[in-house]
Amino acid sequence: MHALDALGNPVRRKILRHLRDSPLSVNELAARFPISRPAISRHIRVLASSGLIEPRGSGARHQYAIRLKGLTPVREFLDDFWDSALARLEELSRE
Amino acid sequence: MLEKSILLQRTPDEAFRLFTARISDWWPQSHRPAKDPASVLFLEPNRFLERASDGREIPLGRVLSWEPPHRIALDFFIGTGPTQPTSVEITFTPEADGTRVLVCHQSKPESEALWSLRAPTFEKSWETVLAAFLNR
Repeated sequence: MHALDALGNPVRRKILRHLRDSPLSVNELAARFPISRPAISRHIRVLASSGLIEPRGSGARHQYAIRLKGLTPVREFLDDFWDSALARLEELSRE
Repeated sequence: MLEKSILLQRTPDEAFRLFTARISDWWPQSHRPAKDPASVLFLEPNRFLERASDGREIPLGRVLSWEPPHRIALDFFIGTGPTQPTSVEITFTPEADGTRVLVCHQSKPESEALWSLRAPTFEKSWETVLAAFLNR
């Protein structure tokens, strides 16, 4: 999922706000939200897969931290999109 | 404004049909929200969407103008979502022996804030970035 889509959800934005201050584990995050731990885990997976947060440490100290480079600006994202899309269109036109 | 163009060795009519009727054959997999390699895309006079093989339909935009074989105007949802669409205009113009396909992509008032963000902003301060997204 693209970072901007991941940010479309209010719970995920709130998770980022908590992580802004310091890295936290899933349990620490879950304790701060009125929703279930599995639900928090799902949001964390989305945030991680979109590159907005990254895992730190392991085992009992497994935490998530904000990833500074995660948010590629939308203009850059679309710029890449059209480059690859039009290249493919041209290939198709040669068939 | 983002401008991209390509010269195809096709008539405007053929280029227009490649762009629209065969959109599933060129639209990059990386930008298919259904995350289904077998999904089918539709760009037609009144719909612009992706249909996954399980039948789910995901709107990719809104067709505002359909003028074959010259021009298509769209509200575009990829990247920013349906509530903050960007604007895409595609024109097909005869040039030399072929057709120039020109894509003009720009923000709309709803998406201006997202569009004008720059990478260095993010690096500089998460405070600024998150404020922009989180307080809306």
